[in-house]
Amino acid sequence: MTWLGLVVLICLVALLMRAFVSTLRESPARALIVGGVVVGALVFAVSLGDADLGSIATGDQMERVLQMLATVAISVVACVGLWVVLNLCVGQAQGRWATFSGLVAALVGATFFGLLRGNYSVTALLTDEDPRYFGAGGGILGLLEWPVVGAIVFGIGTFVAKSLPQQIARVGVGAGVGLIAGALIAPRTKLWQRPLLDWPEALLFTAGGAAIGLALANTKDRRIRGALVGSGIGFAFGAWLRAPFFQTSATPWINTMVPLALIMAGFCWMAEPSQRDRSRFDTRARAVVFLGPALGFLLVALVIPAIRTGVLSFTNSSGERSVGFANYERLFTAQSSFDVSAWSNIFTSNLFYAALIMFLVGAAVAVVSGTGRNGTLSWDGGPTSTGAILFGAFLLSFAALASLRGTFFNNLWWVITVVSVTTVLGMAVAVLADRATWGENLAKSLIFMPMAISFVGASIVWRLQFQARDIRKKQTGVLNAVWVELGKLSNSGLPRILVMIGLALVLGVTLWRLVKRARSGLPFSGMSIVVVLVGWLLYRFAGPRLGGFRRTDAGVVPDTVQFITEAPFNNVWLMVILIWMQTGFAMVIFFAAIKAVPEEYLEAARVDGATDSQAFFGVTLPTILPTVGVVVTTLIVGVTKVFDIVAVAGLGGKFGNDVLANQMFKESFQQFNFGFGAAIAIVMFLLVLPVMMYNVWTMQKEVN
Amino acid sequence: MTTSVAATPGPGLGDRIYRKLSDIPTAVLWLLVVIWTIPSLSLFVNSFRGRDAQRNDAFWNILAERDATLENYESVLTAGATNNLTDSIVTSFAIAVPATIIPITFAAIAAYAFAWMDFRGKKWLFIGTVSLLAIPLQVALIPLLQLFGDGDPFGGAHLTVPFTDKTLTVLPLNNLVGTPAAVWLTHTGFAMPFAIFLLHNYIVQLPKELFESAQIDGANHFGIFWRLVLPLSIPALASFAIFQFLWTWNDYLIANTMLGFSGQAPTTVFIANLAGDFDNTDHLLTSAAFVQAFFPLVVFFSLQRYFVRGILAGSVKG
Repeated sequence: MTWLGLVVLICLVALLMRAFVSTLRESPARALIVGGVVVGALVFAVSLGDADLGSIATGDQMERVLQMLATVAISVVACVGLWVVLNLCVGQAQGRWATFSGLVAALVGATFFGLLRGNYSVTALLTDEDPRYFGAGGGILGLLEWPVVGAIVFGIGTFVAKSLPQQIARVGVGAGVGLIAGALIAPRTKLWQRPLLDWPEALLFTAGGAAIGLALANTKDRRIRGALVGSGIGFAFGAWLRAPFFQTSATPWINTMVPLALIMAGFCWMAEPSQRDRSRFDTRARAVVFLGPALGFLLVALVIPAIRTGVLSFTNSSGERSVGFANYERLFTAQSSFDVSAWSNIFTSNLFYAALIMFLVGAAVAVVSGTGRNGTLSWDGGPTSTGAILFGAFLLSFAALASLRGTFFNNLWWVITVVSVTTVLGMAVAVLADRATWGENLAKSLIFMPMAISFVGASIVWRLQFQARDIRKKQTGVLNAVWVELGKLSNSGLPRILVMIGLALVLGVTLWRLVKRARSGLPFSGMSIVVVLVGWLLYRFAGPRLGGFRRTDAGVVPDTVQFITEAPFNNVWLMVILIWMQTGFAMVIFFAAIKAVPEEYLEAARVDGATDSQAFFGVTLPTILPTVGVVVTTLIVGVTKVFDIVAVAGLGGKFGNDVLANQMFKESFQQFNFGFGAAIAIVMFLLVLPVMMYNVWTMQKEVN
Repeated sequence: MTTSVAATPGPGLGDRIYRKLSDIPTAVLWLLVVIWTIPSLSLFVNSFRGRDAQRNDAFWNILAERDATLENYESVLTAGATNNLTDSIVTSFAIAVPATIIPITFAAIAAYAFAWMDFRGKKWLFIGTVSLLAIPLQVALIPLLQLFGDGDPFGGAHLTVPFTDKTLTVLPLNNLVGTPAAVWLTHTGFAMPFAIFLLHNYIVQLPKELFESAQIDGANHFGIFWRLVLPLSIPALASFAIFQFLWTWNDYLIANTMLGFSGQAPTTVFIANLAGDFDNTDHLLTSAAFVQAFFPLVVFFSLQRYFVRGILAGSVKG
């Protein structure tokens, strides 16, 4: 019955939210009340607990669900509500200046008193609390009493002061409010936060503050206000922050009442500003209120922590003692970061020779086609030769990165492989979907779908594909099952012959058509790729065989690939997961870009006699090149911080497949080595910095 | 497409089938689709197979076995069981819902300010905000954990006032680590650059006359935002909401950092822990992973149009 109860509750909340949203359109203030009722009802429901809700809810789980719902509702309504209130405040500025001042003062007062309580500087207001005791009791009520009282005292006081026409009365009331607030704080100051007043120092800072206040203002009235507020702040600084704390100090009264009275008197000094000033103020304050929350969140959650991480990266594990560049030194000199001991393997690997062949093929195609076109020996880098050379470079990077080991090389490998393969595959799928005659929408959805799955989920999915079992048993991993079956097939008798005949037929037909196309002067690079692939398959079946098997003395036995533990190519298998997830992303973007290429361009190319592939490489690709740039930069940023896949599918990077982000997580949150973890994070940041600067550069061009 | 092909009065059925079969782009496309779908399909199928079946054979043997079962789902979802995903789903919602609604609200108003308000330094403030998109969030994680933590003497943000020996607590946050609030607060901050970018691109395109006539009618920015911009930007808001929901629901890094050591694990952390166990619960992974992916997939398939639109607005400029 728990779940039935939950459903009923969710429906109720949804209905109330619906009411909330519809009232929001008409009147934000009323909507706030509705929202408050919702939250109140939820809090009430939760506080009742399972005792009274027994009929629909039983057990801890239900209580947790209710608590969660209440917290969610409270946080959402509080965040949005606060913003609406701020706007309503600013909205008062033009018409009712006193109300506006009162509201602002109430907010400031609430924050100020809340911070006092949050700093454990004061005891509880209403209940008895030992001033020697460290901490703040009293639950929610104890948390709220100081801000509420602060809002009332400062809000009402300022409203009254600002409503008075005579300056002397305003200043008097303002100073009075400051005295009252000070009198509230002074006796409740915690014993170990009572300052011992040092008059010369306090006066010195008071004078300094006043001078700064004077200097910052430009009219007579503002100078006096600035001097009053500045001297108040200066006094507080000198008397509280500079002074030593002393339990038997008798001066908290002076220390609180004097600065608060000065500041409040200063705030109430000014007469009501002119209509023009007020409307100017309205625009400025509005911009602050609109941007404030977003930029505030950014500052608190991203900018300031990033700066702090920079500082932490020069400290030891607990972040207390400075260690200079030791963390960076350790990161860059560690064997696990850069391991070049096996560099000579690069030149013995098959990949290296394949890369050389691709370079040669690319160069040969370019020279032949250039010579054919110009009559003299020259270079013509068409799509075929460029493609071959790029593919050669890709193979070369594999040869190099399979031999150079370490976290940094792994990261580089990830970036090169995932970005290039995803871009090419995404482009291929987009082009195919564009040409397809049926079902392209469903096909796009299915290729796009992995984007909705979490990295953890995708890792689980692929662990299932990568499983490798004892070779005597049946394989449960899809890839190994296929691989072993292929090995059996290529070592069998009749089936192998049949497959070879089939391959030979395909090869023959393709070759025949290729020759026909070449004779009539049509491009044939696509077909030659098919010929090479099929020819290679035929060769493997005829000669060394293909698939998961091993030759032993007892004959041919099946063999599996350890996709997750066998370095260095276990890195590549993990990359497959990310490619599987991101190809849909690239495809969606490329598809839209291809659709946006003006039809006239393509039509013009066709009139000139271009084939489909010539039109693609000559017209479509250059047109959507900026989009390719966007996809590539997005992918680079995403791949640099890949973490989940290595942590879950790569079993924590223990098998020579570690990357920076995973190392950072392990160091920081498993070893609690904050200094070193911070250094890795900073290095990751520096690695994406060029991309970030490129983004800023393009954006700045666009905004202009 | 299919309907249009069928509607053209063409030659006989055999010819049409032949034409479809010999259509190379479509064939290659669907070959890719099959390769792309097999991994998910194998997970889905295996989630209905018992422990022994999963351990002895690859997924396609379900056809021969004929003993599909819901046991895995039962043991993963039932309240009170040792491996109970239900609690994690609640936690995931408690993270994803506020982490979706709150950034949208604040980013929408900031995007509106960037698009239609005039103030000094607007251009560079905007560029600066959006350039934060590329920052790897690892850079902010350690200080955030300390901010929300219960370190010594306590969590929260502290500031040592210059020229004094006193430390002030600027943000008194105690012990938020281990609660969903720490996670969604973090998500809210990290989501801002992208949200502002996406929504700004949309809001800035709204016709200028709209704002001018509203201003003549005496509406202020707050009124314009509530009554005009918000209702008009619902498609963009929906796009971002889907993005953010998927991202927060599927996030593992932040959740693991802030909630990894507490009893309340969201679904991703739950599954990652289950995957790290290697004991007799291995066979539950398939159903758990499917349940985890169920909610995002529902969102994805029902609102795919908005999702695609969001991706496009977020990347293809102009």
